[in-house]
Amino acid sequence: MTILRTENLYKHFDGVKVAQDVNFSMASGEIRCLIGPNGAGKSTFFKLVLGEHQPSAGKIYFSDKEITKLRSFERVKQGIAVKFQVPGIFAELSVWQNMQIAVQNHLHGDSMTAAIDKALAFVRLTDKAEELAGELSHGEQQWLEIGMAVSTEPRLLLLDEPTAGMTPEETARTGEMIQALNRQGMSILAVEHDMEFVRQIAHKVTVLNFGEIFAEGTINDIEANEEVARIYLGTADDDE
Amino acid sequence: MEYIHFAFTAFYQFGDAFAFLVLSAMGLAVIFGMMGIINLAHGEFIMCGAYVTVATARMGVPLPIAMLCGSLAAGILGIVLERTIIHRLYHRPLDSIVATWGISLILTQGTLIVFGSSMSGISTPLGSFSVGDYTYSTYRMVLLGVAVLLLIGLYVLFHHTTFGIHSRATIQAPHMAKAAGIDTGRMYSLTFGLGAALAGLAGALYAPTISIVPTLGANFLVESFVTVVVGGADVFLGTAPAAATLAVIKAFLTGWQGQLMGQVGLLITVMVVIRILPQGLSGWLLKGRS
Amino acid sequence: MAMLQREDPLTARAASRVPNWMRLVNGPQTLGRGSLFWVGFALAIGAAAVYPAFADGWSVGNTAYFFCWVFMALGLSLIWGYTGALSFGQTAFFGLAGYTYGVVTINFGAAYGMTIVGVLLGVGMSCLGAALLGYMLFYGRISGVFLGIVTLSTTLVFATFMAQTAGSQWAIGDARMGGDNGMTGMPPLTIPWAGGDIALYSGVPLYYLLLAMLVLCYLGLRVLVNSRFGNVLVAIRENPHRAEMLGYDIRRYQLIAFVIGSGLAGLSGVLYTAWGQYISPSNMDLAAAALLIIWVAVGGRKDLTATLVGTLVVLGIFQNLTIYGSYYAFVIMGLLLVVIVVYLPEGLIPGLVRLVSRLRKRKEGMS
Repeated sequence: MTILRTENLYKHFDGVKVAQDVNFSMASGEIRCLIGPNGAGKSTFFKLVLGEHQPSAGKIYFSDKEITKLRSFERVKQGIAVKFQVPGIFAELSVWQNMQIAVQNHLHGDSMTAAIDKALAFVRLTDKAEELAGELSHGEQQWLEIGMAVSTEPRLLLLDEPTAGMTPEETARTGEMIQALNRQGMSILAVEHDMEFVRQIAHKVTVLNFGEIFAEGTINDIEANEEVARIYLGTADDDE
Repeated sequence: MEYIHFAFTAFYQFGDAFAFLVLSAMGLAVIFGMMGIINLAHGEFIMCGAYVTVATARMGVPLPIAMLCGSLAAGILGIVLERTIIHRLYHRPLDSIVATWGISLILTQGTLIVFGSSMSGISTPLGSFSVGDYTYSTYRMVLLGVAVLLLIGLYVLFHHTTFGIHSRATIQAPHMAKAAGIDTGRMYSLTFGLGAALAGLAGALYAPTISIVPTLGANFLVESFVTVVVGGADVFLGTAPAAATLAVIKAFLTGWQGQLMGQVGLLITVMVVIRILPQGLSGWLLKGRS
Repeated sequence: MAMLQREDPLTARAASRVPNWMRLVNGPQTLGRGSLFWVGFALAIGAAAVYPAFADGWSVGNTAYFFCWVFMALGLSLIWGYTGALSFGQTAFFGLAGYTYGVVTINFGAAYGMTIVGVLLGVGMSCLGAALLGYMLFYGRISGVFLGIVTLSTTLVFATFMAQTAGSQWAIGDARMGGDNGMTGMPPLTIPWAGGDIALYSGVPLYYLLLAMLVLCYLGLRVLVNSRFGNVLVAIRENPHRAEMLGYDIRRYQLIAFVIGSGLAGLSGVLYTAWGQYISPSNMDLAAAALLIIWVAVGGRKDLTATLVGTLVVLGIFQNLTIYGSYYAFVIMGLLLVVIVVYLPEGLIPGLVRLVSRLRKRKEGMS
């Protein structure tokens, strides 16, 4: 089943085309990484999927249901969760409360408490439950966010640079977390720059450039592709 | 002939409203554009300008000089406040609104204590002129000219002087400006002082036309806020076209239903504009450029 | 705040064994928790209950006057402290409700419980006005400083409007708006009673009624802010974008908080009008709106108890200062606001609490 699909997706801001005829398709149960040079439109793509930008043209389908006209919070309630690059935790609330806010939208009472405890255990923050989220280390905050995102048991998880600023140990641990989630049936789409991380987790890779899908394939296909290397490094005749 | 008279009346109403909006909003726009701070003591800088102008004029100083004194006094007050209080609040925009409100309260009530509940004013200079059956205040036409000259002058200041270029650099990329050796702290002080001086100038210019009471600043608040919000952060791409648009609305509604309707019209406009253009007119125009 | 949460035994998880309502009243969004606090709270109510026996009539009436304002302060705490929306529109709703009460009771009298109808209609008008304004603000995605400006402009325009209603044509039925002089002549709160209606002028019975309303309102708000609804409000305050991305329609929550908070402002408005039989545009001008901000900011806007205590304390200080001249009182208030905002933005009471718990920690560390 296709979990996420876009059809002829266009987005431009007063003449600047940030998404051009994007026909993206991702199967359920897949871990897909979205890569590309800076300014390629990766974050814009996320924002289009989440509803933060309205497309200039085209459609977006989640699990074969069209979501193009839905508002952000409605799309999220369909089963999409997101973790942005910018920290998205509630700093003055406790870790437990942060989780609670994520979960209480879906569950009540004892099943809610159980889901919170389970999510905390998954990201290994159980013993920090009463601490203020703002006082966690950077890596712990990222995990708390991932925990909040997955505690709602979404079908599709969007991750924007999940390992940004992490140590190699933290990065490896994050990769394990993502694979564990995937084994439970979650589809994952991640924007990433860290190629080692991409190699560790990705089933398939999509390369964006200037708002278009430039190439798609397994990590080996992509690494063997000379065109891809060129768009990252640029050549003498490109106007930059 | 009738049409010409009507056209002139319309032009006069528009010009009067435009001048009022531009002059009220200019100081607030400079500060908001530079630092993202909404200065709720704006009305009190206007009041300071008015009071100093009237006081010096009554001592015999020629009116234009008195007005410059008023503007200067407000500017100095602005720099003092910036150095003592405001600069601690740059990263806290909501708190800066509340703090400047506190300052506004102190200044208004302080003036009440020192100068009493009202002061004798000065009369509007330059008399009147007629077009057809109606007479118009010459002074208010002069204010229109001053408003336009001020816009031009500020444009020159911000685009063709070192101060202006440094200040625009500080607005757009403060860390880069600092790296380039610009003293951003001093930039903020001077810009805040400039904004205060412009507000003081508005007070000075309108002093002959209003009653001199400590709360006179409140009369300018709604207009200046609305103009700045509709205009957005850029003084030239924002405040000027915003004032022009709002002047049309205000003049029309005031002429039709009175002062209050004019203000209500402004209020509705600002709510509509924020909805459609969250960055104001200047944000919209700037996007078109790039 | 972290220290308080870790020391307190009634954390959210442990409390799953405690009855629901008790947990809510004690929850994470309010500072005072645990047995020590509630004992103190009971003592405070007890003291307030016996106070009229020791005080003269004027003082009791004056304290009742103070109580009138606390509802509006709690409402602003809900909107600003808990939801993060800086609204300067509360005094407009105060005035709207007050004038509504006046119109209703001047035209229909005080008998048959009409004053109670006046109260309900006054609060209802505030809620309606807030729903309309709030819809335009929150569903129009207006936030931050712009929210403050638009609400302030609304208040100013409304106050200006009411100030120019001086002529006799400005009346609804028998109730004249009165322009700058305001509206007078409305009856006080009158409870219908078999033997003869009880008119609650400023005095002991009104005092007890207001005290009871205050306690109920305070407890009710505690339950509200500690509930799931309150959790979302605080999330919206901390990171509205994230709250939306967790599936919440934040506009709806902001609007509801705004309507409740403004309804409370309206309640203050009707109670004030009923207490003094008077309402005027000066209750809606810049100085009045500033005072409200000062009570809430100085006390501690992010906590209900801090706001309640802070409001009463600042009101007391202000009233004592006006003996020396109201202008000086305002100047001191302005200074107080500036100092608190710059140096102690969370407010005096949370600041004091933090100081006390830090001293306690040091003592524990030393022994």
